[in-house]
Amino acid sequence: MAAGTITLNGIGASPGIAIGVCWPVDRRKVRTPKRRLGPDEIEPELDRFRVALEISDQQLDEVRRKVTITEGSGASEHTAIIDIHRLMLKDEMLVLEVQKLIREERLNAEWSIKRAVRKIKGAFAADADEYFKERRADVDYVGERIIKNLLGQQVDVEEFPPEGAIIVAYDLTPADTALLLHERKVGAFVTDAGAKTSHTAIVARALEVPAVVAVGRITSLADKGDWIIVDGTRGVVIIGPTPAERADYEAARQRFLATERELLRSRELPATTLDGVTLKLAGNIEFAEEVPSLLNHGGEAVGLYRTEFLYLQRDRLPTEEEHYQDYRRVLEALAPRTVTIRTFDLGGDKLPAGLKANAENPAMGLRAIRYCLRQPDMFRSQLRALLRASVHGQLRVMFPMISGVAELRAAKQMLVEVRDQLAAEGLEVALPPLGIMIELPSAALMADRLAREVDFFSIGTNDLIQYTIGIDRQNKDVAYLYRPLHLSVLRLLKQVCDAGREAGIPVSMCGEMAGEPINALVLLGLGVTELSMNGPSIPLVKRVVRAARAEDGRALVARMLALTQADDIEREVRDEMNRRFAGLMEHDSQVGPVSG
Amino acid sequence: MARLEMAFTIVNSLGLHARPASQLVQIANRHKCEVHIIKDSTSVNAKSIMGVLTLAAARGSKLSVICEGEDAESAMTAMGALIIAGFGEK
Repeated sequence: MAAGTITLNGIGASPGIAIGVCWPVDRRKVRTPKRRLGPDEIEPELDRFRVALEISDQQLDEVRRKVTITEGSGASEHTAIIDIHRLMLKDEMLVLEVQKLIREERLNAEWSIKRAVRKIKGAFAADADEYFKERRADVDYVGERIIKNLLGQQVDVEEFPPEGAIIVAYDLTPADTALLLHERKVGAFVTDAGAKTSHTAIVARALEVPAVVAVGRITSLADKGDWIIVDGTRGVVIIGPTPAERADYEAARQRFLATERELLRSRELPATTLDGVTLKLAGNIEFAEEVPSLLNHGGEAVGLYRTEFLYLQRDRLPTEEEHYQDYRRVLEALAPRTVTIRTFDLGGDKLPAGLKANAENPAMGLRAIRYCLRQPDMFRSQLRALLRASVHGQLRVMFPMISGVAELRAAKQMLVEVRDQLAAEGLEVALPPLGIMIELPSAALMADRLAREVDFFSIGTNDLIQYTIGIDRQNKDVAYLYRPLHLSVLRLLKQVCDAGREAGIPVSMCGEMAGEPINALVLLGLGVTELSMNGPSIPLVKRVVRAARAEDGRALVARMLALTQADDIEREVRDEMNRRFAGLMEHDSQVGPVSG
Repeated sequence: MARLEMAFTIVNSLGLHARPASQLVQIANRHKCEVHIIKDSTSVNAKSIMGVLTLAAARGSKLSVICEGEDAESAMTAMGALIIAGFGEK
């Protein structure tokens, strides 16, 4: 047992609090034997190396299989990294170099691997981002796996901790993390090494397991069975906490769980304001597999199904049948709720002439609906699949990046043609409700005219803000200009909502802004009718909506429109929200214990 | 022998990180042609995951992709589409 209480600081890599007993995972570096080979030993050594590569590949295949079975498609973070390790095992930079060292320098396989790994790590640019530097660790993991197999040592975790244990290690390989998480419910991860971009950190965040990394001394200070508190939000680890500390953290953990339960209870309740205005809260999804989580969080519809992954999952275009099967799955899972499917929104699947200029400024180039109209065959197969799938649920079709009436009419014309074609083939389907993304200032400015020709609008705030203010939020030098409540943006939003109301069509919002509780009152005031966000954001937004009055929202918007500077407008919103909804807008996971 | 060379800019915010890099390497490996990626003055074999990761191509990096061999066009098309689309990320 550790003597007394020890508090350590590291990097909070995944938020949340866990209290449990220490379960050390031994990850000491393997000792590499070094030996010169005799002339007859070269060929057998090459064989040993080949066999070790094969065994390593089989082990990773096994890990991948286990993870896929227990986690389904949610394991993508794990499987992706395990796939990369398998690619590394076949990589010429490793394999050819090791073979060369065995043959020409007559080094044994273990030593050759160590040298090859060092050389590959040296090839990473010194000024590379943290994330890329961290990938050197992957090269180490792969090298160590092969060496351990050469030495006949245990490679993967074979003994599993009790449920809720705190996993303590110098470092964890992605395979370790995958196996530990998928065999048992782990309390938290604490490692001496690592960074926010390590795999353990990435995976812990994805699976909502608290983690603190880069602690430095945890393995030498904590013993198996010691009580440990992990505060992944603040990066604090307490070994052998006092009873008072344990009580404090236990209380904080209980508050977190209570909030979680309360939020989930609200699942069945409508998002209706105190003065009787009901918003529809929907979810943005990319894969059919996200549907259960969305419904679990109280999603009432799919407000945005991005179809891009259908195009990116394979190295050819998806067939009409592949589109159809996928859409049908989502529509059936949601029925009778509506599913809004957005058509192809990428930069293009072929490389037309003049692409180079295009790639320099992709945001304004040949993409989304523009590309579809240029590639009618590709577009038609998606439209045919949509219409065929429409009989399986409540479908709405949405075109992205519409800049004016001509594009909309052209796209709509294609949809009508496809419907007639299907009818001629003997399949009579009605046209589903048709809408457009409002994400270009041009569309927002002429929303009144566009409203006459569609059944609904969906505002894509991320793009609308970027195009309106003329900034790229990923560019660090101008990111500070990204202001969702900039007066220009606010005026456009108002114009779009007013146009929708006058035409009697619903106005939905599917950008990030829709999922931020602080904006809920503003959006109510503007008259948005549907908010679409990531599933986990729904309960908090709903809590604010249910405590609000649309009337107050309208008054707030009027005051905002009278101001000029984004700073002042933001302050107006913050003050109003803090006054009315203090405490309602945050999840308690962000709040540590009161004392301690 | 067809030889194609095209310039691209990495547009997704995380750059050519693990998942996109492995997508590119897997496409390259499905083709017979030779594929190289050049960043600044460093050239790597696009069939090597380690090579592609060492480029540490962050967002905004300018890359040249060179495909040489009978199915160069198909390789370029598939890789180019992914890069331009930001690998389906933001």
